[in-house]
Amino acid sequence: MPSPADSPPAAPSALELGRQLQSRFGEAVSGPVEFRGEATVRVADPGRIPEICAFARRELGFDFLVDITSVDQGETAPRFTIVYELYGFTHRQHLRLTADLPEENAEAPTVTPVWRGADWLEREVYDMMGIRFAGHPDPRRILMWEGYPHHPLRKDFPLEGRPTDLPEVAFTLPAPLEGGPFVAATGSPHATDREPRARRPLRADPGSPNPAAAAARSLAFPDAAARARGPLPGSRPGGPEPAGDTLVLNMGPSHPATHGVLRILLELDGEIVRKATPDIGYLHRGDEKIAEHMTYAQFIPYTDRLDYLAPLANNVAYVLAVEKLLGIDDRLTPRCQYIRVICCELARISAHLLGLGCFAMDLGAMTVFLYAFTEREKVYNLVEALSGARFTASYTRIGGLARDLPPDWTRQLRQFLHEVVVTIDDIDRLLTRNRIFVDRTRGVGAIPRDMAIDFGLTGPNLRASGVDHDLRRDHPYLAYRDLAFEVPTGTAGDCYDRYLVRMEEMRQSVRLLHQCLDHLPDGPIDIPDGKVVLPPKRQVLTRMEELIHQFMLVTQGVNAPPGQVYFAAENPKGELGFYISSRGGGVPHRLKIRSPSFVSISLLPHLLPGLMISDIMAVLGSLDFVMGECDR
Amino acid sequence: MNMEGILALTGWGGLRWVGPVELFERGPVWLRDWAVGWLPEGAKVWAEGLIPAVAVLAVFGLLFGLATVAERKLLGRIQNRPGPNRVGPYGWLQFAADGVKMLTKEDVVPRSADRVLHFLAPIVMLAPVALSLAVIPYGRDLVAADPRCGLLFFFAVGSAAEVAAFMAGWSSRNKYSLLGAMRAIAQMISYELPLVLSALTVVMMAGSLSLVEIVEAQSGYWWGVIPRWHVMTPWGLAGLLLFMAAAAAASNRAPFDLPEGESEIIGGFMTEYSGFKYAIFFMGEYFGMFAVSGLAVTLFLGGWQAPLAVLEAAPSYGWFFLKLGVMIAWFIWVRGTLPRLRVDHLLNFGWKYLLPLGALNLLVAMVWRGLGGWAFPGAGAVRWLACLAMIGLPAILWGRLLMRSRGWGPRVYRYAS
Repeated sequence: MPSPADSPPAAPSALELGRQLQSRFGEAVSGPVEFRGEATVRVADPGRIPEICAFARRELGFDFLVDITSVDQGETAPRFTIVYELYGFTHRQHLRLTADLPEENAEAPTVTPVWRGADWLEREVYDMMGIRFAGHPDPRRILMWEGYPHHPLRKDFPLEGRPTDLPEVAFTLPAPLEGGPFVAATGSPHATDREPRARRPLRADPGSPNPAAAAARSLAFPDAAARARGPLPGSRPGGPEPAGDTLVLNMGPSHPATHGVLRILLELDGEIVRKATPDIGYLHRGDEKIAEHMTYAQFIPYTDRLDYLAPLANNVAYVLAVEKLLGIDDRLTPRCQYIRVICCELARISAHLLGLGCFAMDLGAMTVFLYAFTEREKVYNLVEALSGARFTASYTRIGGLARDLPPDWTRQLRQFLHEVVVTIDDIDRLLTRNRIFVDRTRGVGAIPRDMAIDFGLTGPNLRASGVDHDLRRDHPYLAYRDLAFEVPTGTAGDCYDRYLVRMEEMRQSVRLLHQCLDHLPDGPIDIPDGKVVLPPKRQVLTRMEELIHQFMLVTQGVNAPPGQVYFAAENPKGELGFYISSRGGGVPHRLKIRSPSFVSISLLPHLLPGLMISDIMAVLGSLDFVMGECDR
Repeated sequence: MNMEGILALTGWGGLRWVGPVELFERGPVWLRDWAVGWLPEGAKVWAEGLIPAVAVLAVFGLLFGLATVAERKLLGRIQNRPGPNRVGPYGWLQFAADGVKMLTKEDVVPRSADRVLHFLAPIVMLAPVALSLAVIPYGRDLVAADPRCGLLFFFAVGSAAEVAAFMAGWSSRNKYSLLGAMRAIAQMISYELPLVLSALTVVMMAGSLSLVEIVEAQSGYWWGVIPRWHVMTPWGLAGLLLFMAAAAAASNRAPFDLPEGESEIIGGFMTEYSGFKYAIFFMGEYFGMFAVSGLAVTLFLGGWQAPLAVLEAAPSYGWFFLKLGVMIAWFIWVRGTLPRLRVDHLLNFGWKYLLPLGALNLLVAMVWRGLGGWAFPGAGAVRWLACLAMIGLPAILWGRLLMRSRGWGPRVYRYAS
């Protein structure tokens, strides 16, 4: 296994790359600032962002747009900050670009010409924060529905969307659910008239305190009347115009193969998909908004519900991000690190089993699904013994873990590992050389390498496209540095490759787990620091200082320094990243979740056209997304 | 009671002593004759038709219930789980509970559906399939109707299922239903051809369209041990395989269950059906499976003939239903193993693979008959192997060729760095 020292020694550091950017653009770019090992470059003139991004991509090798985030600075002017997280696969460096936008002119030029994947990321920023992107090909809302008058992540939007008692200082209008696209009209015999979107859009709300709302509406409904009767809202950038004789099929949000509440509007020519428009947000819970209203530790249970097939891995990724902000990620005890790796890999096996099981089920192979679920049941038993909960584990704590491994747990895990290998082999025998399965997956939904990078695909999906990128190996966190594993990559990037990569990743996870169990160190699981980790209950009850620590941690949360960090972990679905912007104190000022599923779904409009209806299931199943994580 | 036999009312003819073998073998026929005998002369002709019809529907209705439980239990076995095991002994009364559930469910009809067609579709699905059960000989002299063109009748009424599927899909006014109906029609029509072709081989060899005569043509044994069933010949073996592949498609069974495709198009043409109408569709599908399985048994597996001369003591209909059970188990096994095909793959498989092989099989059957005159030592084995090679080699080569035409080599996948 290559350690970080194996990366080319000549590779420039992120700071050097930031300086190159500055020397190229002069005043437009401020010098790189380092915090927690990350370089941040401020762009003075937001109008030059595309130019700077293009240079960063073409000349500096930042070919991967990780995420676009926005921060509402509240009272401080300029009000908004837009944050671009960049990464380069060749030099393995991370760079952050930030730009400030004033409230009155919250507009930035789009970077979609540089990275096609910016399309959905910018739509989300617009939807949640109200920052517009000039030149964006498809400036529609994405999580909220068209016509929704507010931008929920703005600081003046209350947590629950309810009116407050302070009408002059805060948001006063109820967040309108009525008029959303959820209520079907009744009465008409024709489904097209009952379709909620067939109704006229919401009227402009004259009393709205939000000046961007009117602008948002004009953006959301450029030709509202025509669109209301038209076959599909929005259009795929560059896609063919809908022909007159296509069949519009509404797939989802409750459809057996959409794995949750994904809705895809399909234009069909017979069985062949001409155009596919995913519609997400049905599971949007405002996790990022919620995070701004609670302490860092209180948000851990919410991370369970992101990729709810791998809660343990989400917990680990989140607390590692907080620990990075606190600067304590290198002080974790060895035992804690190993147990967290066990959590991640167990979650990976569980998530991949479900992903492959559902994939096979969607293709009609019911038996594989039940084989996989038998093994997942054993994982749930292990998780239950570990954390007390089968599904939403919330096992990690900032600086440590909820509790140590229960007695006999390692033996049970060993036994599970011996059993799961048998099941993986069974699945292998049932599918890998099955003619029907191969016919349905090979050459279907192929994502070429360039496209995968352009869209910011991560995880097994990226590796199936032949990009050799695994955060566990390239940026080893926890104990991954000490463990040996291989990173499987595909060649064609089709559904079959994604299947093969996941199968091999499960085997590698088994291998990792065996190593973890072999080398599991003894010792404490928590950092011995009362300002980070809750002291033992007995000490809290008997000693003054511990009582104070406990009181402060519970009421105020850990005291984080001001600053911004981004941490990403290699989760089963891909790179789950947390961007935290802190102003100090126990509550994040802004927390952005970089969701791999969101990115996977953003590829659908480009993958599905030309395929058949049955192939949609293969593509959806092989992309293996979770709507809980996509919609957040 | 006498050990050699019991007193039995043999039809209306009177009482006589018969052995248990004869009693079980002839019992159903005597029972019918006895019941008909009570009726006035004008009603007899009606009763002779009605009594077998009721008997067939009753037997297959019960078999339908048992088959649903058996399917779920066997699938459960395949998938490491128990299957239904709560209602009745070992769960075998599950179908009764299911039936009550289906009967008491609300019958939802979409507001925009064409009510008449929507109502008629399940009936149109079930009735022809039930009719096709009439011509299958279940035992010696146990056939509801024996027209001289029984096989033709079978295929003629069986093709009405397409109409039913389309009626259901169209009248539901649901796009998923419509897609399901489109798939159903494309699939049923495509697979009717290989189905008929492989049956045609048997017709050619047996020289009759009457299913009763086809079964009789398979009576007897080679060297007293190997039954002269068609499946024991190369063309019969190939014909059975072709027939079963096509039969699975024609009865919408996995891996050809695209018209339902619950993970793709929800329930296909049955999406908008609930309650008892759905149960009738379900029943129609099972009856269809029984019918094609029964036909396969009749055409290739010797119908009600016993596999060995010494086993002829058991009642003939027992052998028929045993073979039918094997066929149904095969359907369930396949369903538990294979993923579903895609529409174009399905049509390719039907038109490009099954149909040419079906045609070739006709030729093989001709050659088989032509070589029947060979009389040198070992002629039988040579004839057998030659004919098997004639159909087997093209099947393998043609399959390889079709696969290669896609240009797929083996996929190498590698570890990074």
